[in-house]
Amino acid sequence: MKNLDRRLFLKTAGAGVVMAGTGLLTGLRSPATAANRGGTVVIGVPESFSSLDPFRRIGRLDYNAVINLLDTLVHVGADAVPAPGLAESWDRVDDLTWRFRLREGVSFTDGTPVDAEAVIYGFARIKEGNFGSQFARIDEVVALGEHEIEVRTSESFPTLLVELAQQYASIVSPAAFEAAGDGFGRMPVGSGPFRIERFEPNRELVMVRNEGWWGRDAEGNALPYLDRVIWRVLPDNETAALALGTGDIDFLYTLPPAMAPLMMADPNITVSSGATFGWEYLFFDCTRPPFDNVHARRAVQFAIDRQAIVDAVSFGTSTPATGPITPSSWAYNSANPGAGLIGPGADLERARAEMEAGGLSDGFEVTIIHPTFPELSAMAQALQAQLAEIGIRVVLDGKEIGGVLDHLFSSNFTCLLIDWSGRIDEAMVFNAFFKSDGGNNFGKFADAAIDEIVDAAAAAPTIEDRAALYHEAERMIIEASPHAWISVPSELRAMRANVTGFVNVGDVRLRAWTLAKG
Amino acid sequence: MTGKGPVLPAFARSAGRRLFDLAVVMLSVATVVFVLLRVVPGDPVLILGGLDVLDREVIARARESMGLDRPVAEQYAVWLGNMLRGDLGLSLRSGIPVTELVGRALPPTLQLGAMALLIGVAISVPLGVAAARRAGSPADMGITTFAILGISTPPFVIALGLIYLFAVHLRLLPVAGYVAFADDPLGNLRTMAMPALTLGLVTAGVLVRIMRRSVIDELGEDYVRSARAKGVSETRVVYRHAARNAAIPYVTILGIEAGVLLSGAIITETIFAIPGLGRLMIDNINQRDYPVVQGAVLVVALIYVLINAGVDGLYRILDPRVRAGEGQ
Repeated sequence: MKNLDRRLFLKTAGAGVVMAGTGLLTGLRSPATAANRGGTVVIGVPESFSSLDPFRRIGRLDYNAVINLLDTLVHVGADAVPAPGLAESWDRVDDLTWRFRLREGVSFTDGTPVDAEAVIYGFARIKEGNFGSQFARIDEVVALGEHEIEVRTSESFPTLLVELAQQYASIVSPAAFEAAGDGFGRMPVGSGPFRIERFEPNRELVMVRNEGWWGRDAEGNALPYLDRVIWRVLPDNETAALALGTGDIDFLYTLPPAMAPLMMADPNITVSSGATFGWEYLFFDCTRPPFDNVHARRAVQFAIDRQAIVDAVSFGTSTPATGPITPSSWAYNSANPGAGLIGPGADLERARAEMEAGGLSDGFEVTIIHPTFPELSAMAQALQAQLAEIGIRVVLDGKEIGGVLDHLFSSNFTCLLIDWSGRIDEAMVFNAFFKSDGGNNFGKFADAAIDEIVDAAAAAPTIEDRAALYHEAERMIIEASPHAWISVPSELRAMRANVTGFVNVGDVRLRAWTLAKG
Repeated sequence: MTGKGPVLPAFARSAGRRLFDLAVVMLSVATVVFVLLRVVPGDPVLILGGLDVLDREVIARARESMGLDRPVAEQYAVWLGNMLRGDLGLSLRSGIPVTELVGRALPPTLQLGAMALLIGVAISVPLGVAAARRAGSPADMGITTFAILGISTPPFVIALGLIYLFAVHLRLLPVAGYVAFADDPLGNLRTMAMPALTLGLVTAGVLVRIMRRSVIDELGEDYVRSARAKGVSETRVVYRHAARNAAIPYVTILGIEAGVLLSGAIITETIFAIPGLGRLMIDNINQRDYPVVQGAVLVVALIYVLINAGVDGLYRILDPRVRAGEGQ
């Protein structure tokens, strides 16, 4: 079975290349060289850190710190390939059994060895944590030797490797975790590329190179290259951009799309863009009028001019989303994007036909709830204008994000505009959004045939089988249109021209161990 | 009045009354903040993950670990009880004690406020007096225009202007950031210079106008005419007599401005990335980290009350009549 998983990875590797090629601004930076070893990179980040305890529900930024400090059994490689991490290899012995061989001679930064015992301890912490439900299928983890473990599951767990690459599956030092109690999130101890030196959540996180890390670059040089990475909290976008311009900081963690053109004009600054696996999309409540009527949902789907929105709202930095599977995914159906039903432009004729088929020729009025972030507000206004073309009168209800999430989570909306950062395996997306009992199915969409095919796609043995099933599932889902997908946002980062080695994976994680400063 | 005898008990009585007032104010603030935060839409557990909506079970577990699954009345009682023992609870997001977060945020904000007030006073006293002495002259017009500009320009505009000048153009100061005074005194002053100047200019605008108006009023008083008639020099008349009496309305406004600075600090601390109380509040309001906001607001309320007490104390020094009044 091992080969099958390898093939999944190879396929994903291909997708990674496509992604780099479609980076609209600049693709991957030239690889860093060992000649540039040493130095400090200061990364400007837009918000305070909260906690670095991977087992709690923490913020996106926190995970970016965690990935650099704590290691996982499986990695997501530079090209979106799940690759060896603390586990140097693995076998899927049978449908319910996996064996992982651990790297030898690796220690946590407090000196505790990373052995089978520590990893088994880690699995117990993972299952106890806020994300334990993701690993509910794991029955037991046993040591087969000092550096080998076996994971036994109660049912097939095809996405185990992907889950083990998530930061909530970090392997932590048992000694440090026990000693820290509730304070682990302030001084996490693991075996990652860096270790923490100083942490003031509202101001600065300083991490220094873990000399004992196992990671090597293509030429066999030890990683990371940098001596030190400083994450400095700069809450104001304008100030952060100016600080990059003067060289006070070397790297800007998030670049608002509106600032991208200005940054690209500066010869001292490199802008990197990587397509993410996420969407900006409309959620419909499929149980309340007018969107209990599939024709109303499809009418909206066809009336949206995605290309126009992408050009105007994100200054061309994002790409039109013509279905739930993003172009960077291994499951993307490049032969038949949008299942032949939706494309980048609007199809008003088809949209009007749907209105008529649904008995909605006179149009209707609908309220769209949206967060008041600049990009999403502009997108909502564009939708309002576009839907007016087919007689849908949109009332916009912009709310602060907290209020939007309240409405979403309590399924109290007719139509709601929001975004989603994506996942690197379609099972994590389809199961959550499109199954009738899915955790993110806030529009109460239910279709027995789709439930069935989504289950089949997650469990199918080969990557080809899975992709074929996801293509079919995607077609069925587009026909039912529980969402209207609008665009795939890009991860925009800006850095000083002397910062090299940055790899934009598009999974909203910044891997500082590949960075170098010339 | 017979010596100091009756004054001390009166002072003690007034101090006791003040403490009682303080307790009432703090309890009211605590309750109002607690209720407001829970009325405002937004769930800390959801906001923490941003737009990444997740599994309901993950959310439920997170809520339980934050203690948010318990009844609101119980949360209030527990929080109030702990507060009386000086325990402001733990941050929902980070698990760090709120007293520690507030304790770390207080020094930068107090330093920023003190520096801004100092700049405000250093600018407003000489300019205000000068304008009053030459009321109606072109110099007065210039100073008044400066004052109105200071009042009406939003702090973020001043801040960005200063950044362009000192950090981008002249490259004299870092754009933003903060270094603790204890770690690096010079670095601290370099990072605090622009934020303090931003708030100082705004404050100076208000204070110049007050100083000018008060000195003009005092210069029209009988005692000034008497002093001049006695042949006291004009400089002495203005500074020793008129300006000293003008200080009472000035100090009142200074106290109010010190409070206003705390709210101005929210924007200034955000732009300049200073990890002070303003930043702590705005970050955690956005994140609905209830205990942190509650703790920070309580401390801000306490500062307001203390500033008011300080202003009253200054009255006692500046105006003997206030002291005399206490004996009656």
